[in-house]
Amino acid sequence: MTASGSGNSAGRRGATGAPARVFTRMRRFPFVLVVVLMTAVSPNAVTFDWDWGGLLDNTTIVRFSEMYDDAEWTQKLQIGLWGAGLRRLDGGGTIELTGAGSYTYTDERDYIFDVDLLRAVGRFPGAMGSRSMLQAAVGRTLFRDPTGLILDHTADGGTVRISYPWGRIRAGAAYTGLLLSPNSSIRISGPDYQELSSDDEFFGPQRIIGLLDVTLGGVTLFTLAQKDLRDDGDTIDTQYFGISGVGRLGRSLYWDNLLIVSTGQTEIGAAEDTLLSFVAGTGLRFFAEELRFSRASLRALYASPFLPLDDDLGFDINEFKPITEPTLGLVFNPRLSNLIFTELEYSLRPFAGPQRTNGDMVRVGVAGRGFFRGYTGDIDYIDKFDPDSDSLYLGTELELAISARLFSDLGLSLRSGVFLPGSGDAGAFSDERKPEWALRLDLSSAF
Amino acid sequence: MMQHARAVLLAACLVLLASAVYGQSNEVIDDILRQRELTYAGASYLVLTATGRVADDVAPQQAVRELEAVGWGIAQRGPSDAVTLGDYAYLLMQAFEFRGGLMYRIAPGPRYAAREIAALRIAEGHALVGMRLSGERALRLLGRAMAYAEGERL
Repeated sequence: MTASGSGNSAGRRGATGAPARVFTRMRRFPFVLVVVLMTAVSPNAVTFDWDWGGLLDNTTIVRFSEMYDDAEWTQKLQIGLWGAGLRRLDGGGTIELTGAGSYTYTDERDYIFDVDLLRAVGRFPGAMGSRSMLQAAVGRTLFRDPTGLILDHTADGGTVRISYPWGRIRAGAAYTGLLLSPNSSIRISGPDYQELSSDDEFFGPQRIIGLLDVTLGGVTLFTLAQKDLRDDGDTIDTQYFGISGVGRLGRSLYWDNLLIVSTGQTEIGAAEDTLLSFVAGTGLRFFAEELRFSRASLRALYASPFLPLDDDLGFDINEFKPITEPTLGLVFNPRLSNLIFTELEYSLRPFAGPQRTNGDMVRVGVAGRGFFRGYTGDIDYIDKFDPDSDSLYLGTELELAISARLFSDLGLSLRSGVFLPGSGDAGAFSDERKPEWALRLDLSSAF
Repeated sequence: MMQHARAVLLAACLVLLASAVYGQSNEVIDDILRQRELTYAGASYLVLTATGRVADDVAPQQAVRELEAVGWGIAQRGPSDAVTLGDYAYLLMQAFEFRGGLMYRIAPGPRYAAREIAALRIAEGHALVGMRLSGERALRLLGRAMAYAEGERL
């Protein structure tokens, strides 16, 4: 019901208002852009050291399964150019200007030109007292929460970070409405996802994001909030309050923990509602250089489902909704919502010896992932559930990967995986859900 | 763990550097360390003495002539002119005979030499091809290049 109504709303907006909205938003050309350009063309620009370069990346994925008529091929080719300028300041500080744009070809779109980065970063040691480091960034830059589970995306805005030996504090704000829709993964509500598959939407969802985090030792307290600026459809605003910590258990062993509680407010038509959800996680990380650069990790995440607890507790628990979806699997990649996720990974450089050799460039890894839903009931964007199953088990994914950096400017990575769905008595899927395989080849080069 | 490893690595680099420049004129090294912008003469002296191509008691101006004699000279650059990080990286690449990446092999020069020393972690921090380089940083880069040439992991 929600999706249907909002979809119509999105369609109407797309059909009648896209050009006007593009113009309106272009008029809100970010102030930072003007500042950056003025800085770059000012007489002081001659004191900058400049450089430029490019990249050429290709990703090819083939997926096959008994469920498909034919193997499914997808390809993404990206050619990018970047420029950077650096000015050193008296006192050891720097001002860095970076711009990067790219052309991307995919099977879905013949081309898309986008601005990937356009930012100015200032670093000012000692500006907030001795042994302090003040860093300010403004423009199109990366915004990421301390866990990477809520937000990991470029956006237009700014951050300020003050670091001391004993801790650091960071605050920032961003606007997502100038990101091109095909390149925007800011997707929270049903209309957000519907806009993603619509050609009528030039820009991604208009949201404003704020973040604040404080790190003391190995513990980080953080909060994020996002507000939907659209007023002509269903909206959802969310806030996140989290704590994450890392503890050292041994010489090369670390223990990570996190807890994020989210609140939210929805407007669906005339109906308003509040949300409460959470995600919790724990994990171990191990790294041993002496064991051929072995890396191992074990982690588990629980993202809340909808739990009807109103009768017992006086409120319901809702599905967790991050701002961007983290990548969890190669073949099966569900949203971090109504999900129990477990993962065991191990990788090493099998040809590495005591001295550096060309064999250092090769890394081989394996991974196993277990997926469970947090509560029985269908997940609307995943097909072929067994409506009679009470099982939480969704399936297991196995992955084998090899990566090699053939040259400093040419890297290759090959990942293969299979998702074995849980069906029958043991799983949540019906027998129609068959195993799926995927093969992914990444090539990255720089010039 | 990483900090410990870095400390050991830095110590190893310093030992290598110290042994390499043992006997060099303290005045020359002191002068290079004081340079806010590394000169062509200073760069020539560092890479040629560190790789044993000239004796450490040679004058920096003489090192420039030696550098040009082996074909690594930088065109239209006087001994007291400043060199960029790219220029210096290209000298390091040639002096230590690093093979370089794909683009360096296709188009060897300061641009891809700067990229290469950044990719190999010889250069820490910013490594823009046209950036100015202090004498102190040049010595640090030289120490790490020597460690890399010896088979160390940086």
